[in-house]
Amino acid sequence: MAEKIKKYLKIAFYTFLTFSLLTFIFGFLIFSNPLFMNLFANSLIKFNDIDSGTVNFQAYSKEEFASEFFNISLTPEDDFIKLFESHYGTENKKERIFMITYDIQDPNDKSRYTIYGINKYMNLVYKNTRQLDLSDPKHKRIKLHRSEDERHTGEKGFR
Amino acid sequence: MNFKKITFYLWIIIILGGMTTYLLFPEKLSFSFLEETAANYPVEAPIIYYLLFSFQRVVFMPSPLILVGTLIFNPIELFVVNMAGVMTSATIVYYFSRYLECDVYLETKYSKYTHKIKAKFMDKELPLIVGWSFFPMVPTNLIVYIVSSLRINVFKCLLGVFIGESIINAFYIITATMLIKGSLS
Repeated sequence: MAEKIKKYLKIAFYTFLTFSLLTFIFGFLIFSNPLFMNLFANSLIKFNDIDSGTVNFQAYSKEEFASEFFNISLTPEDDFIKLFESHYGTENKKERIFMITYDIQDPNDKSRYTIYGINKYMNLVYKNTRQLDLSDPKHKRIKLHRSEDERHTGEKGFR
Repeated sequence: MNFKKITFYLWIIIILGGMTTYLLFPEKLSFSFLEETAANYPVEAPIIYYLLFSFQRVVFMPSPLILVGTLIFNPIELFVVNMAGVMTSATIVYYFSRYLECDVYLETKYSKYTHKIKAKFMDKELPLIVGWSFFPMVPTNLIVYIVSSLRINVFKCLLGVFIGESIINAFYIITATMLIKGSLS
């Protein structure tokens, strides 16, 4: 019996390890390439019934981002992160192993924030603009977008 | 018609109804009301979410709740509620399939095939269940029906579902939180 349980736990452990590794590789691909990131994020948003008013997501290569938002063509000598910080500042900057993220407030609309994620080692930048509910400053919640005629109550959830 | 047959047909109607609603009228299943509920009722919101999530999985409806959940709950809370929903629905489906005697039906009608499948499943049940649960395009509870009909141990079934679903759920929650909120904290 003990032998059987041991064998069984071994199978469970190796299966867990295999699928975790697969997920890690999948995640690595997504967070290193704008094409995979856009495909993944768009399918996630589409299948979750979230509209562009709630989450406005887009991923770019560093060259694409620089030419679209800084109007310059990026050369291999350019430091993209320095360039980014000189344009947008370092508001809510968080630095992690692979990614640096910034959450920057829109100067014209105090409730609009944009997350910028930059992969430090790979050619990927993403941005996601969303509207925050600032009525409770302690817990800044993302406002789910609703059309004008939709009431903000539970019974209207299942339209 | 006996009670089990009525239950079986009712079950089929509910599943078809759920899947048709999802395929033809996905906009009818908006869960934006949960956000308001979470703000006003922080204790009740996870319970409502858990019940909706479990129900959707029992009727094979692909769940559009992960992103909404990411907006409302913190990642750990969301993972716990999601996994509770996954395990509850899998247990319901497993025992409901037994109650409907799907195993007896398969055994009497297609015993040749069930024995063949069982022999092939031998020692590979767990990786197969984990793989199926992990794959996002197929409903996890379909494998629970099959496993229950093949009379595979409930513990093996639920452990497989737990491993597969916990990996894919953690992945979805982490990526969705990173993309929408910028960080996990």
